[in-house]
Amino acid sequence: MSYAVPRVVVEAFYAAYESRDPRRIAEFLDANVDWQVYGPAEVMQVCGHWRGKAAVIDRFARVIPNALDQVHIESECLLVEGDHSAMYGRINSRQKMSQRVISHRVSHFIRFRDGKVVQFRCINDSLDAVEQFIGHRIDLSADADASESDIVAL
Amino acid sequence: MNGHETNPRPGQDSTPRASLQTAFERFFAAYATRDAARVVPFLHDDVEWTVSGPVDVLPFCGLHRGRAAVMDLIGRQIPAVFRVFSFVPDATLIDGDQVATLTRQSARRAIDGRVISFRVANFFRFRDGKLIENLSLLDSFDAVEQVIGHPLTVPESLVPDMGDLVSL
Repeated sequence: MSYAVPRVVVEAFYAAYESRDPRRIAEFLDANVDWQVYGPAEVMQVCGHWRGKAAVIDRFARVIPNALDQVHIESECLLVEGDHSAMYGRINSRQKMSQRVISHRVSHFIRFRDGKVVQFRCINDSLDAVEQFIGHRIDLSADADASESDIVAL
Repeated sequence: MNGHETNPRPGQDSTPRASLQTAFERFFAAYATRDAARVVPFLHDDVEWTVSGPVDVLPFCGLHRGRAAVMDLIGRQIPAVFRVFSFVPDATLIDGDQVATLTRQSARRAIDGRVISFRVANFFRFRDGKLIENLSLLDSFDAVEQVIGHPLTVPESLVPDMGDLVSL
């Protein structure tokens, strides 16, 4: 029988995640955890690929505190089945340097083993996130050659 | 999906989860073809389909309400930007009335046929064996760069200074 992560473990992981406390988060990390946050790491250093428990702990100990003061997830969907969880919602944070509130769509797909995270994949509405991160709209109008002029966005 | 389609055959698992899995697999097989006519039988009358992203570059982003709007989305609006030809699920979860998928999709740009690829998260909700809600999310910065065909320009002066941090 393969491992099935209890929902209570997933919820406890998210409580640790929101605390941004590396020690609390470390309790949920497998030694070989693979942690990937899709997005332009050259603009948002919270994006990137971290391999191994020490690297992920370092992300929460150094990278996150330099970028963000607060992190809160408004989860709209949290599915748990087998060794996976999937979350869809909105992540609200405060950028440390500017004190701007940043809020954008996010989803997580997490695989657990024996109560620990072995794989974490995060998809953000990263363009929206980047624009909030830099505090400016990115002008896409000159580049939007693939858009269809007669389409009205709903 | 009608009642006939959801009735289990003798020996089949008739739990709510099994029924949802059957409904989802039929819907997903139709959706993977990107043929709106094949998808529509699986859509609830009151379906809502939301794609997060910038509508000025990806005009299909936004909220689409009702069968006709979702058919137009799948049959016209998305193919006007790109045509998906590969649809590979990395993860699929079923919990309650919901199904979450993480897929790797490959597509050709409508304008020139150039291949692009991206990951998409979908959160589907079913009611009475039919799709009532879909929430789609993709790495929009990457998707926009691929659709417009070149990197987005972010002035260095606007990139937050992170001291001695190096992106990994």
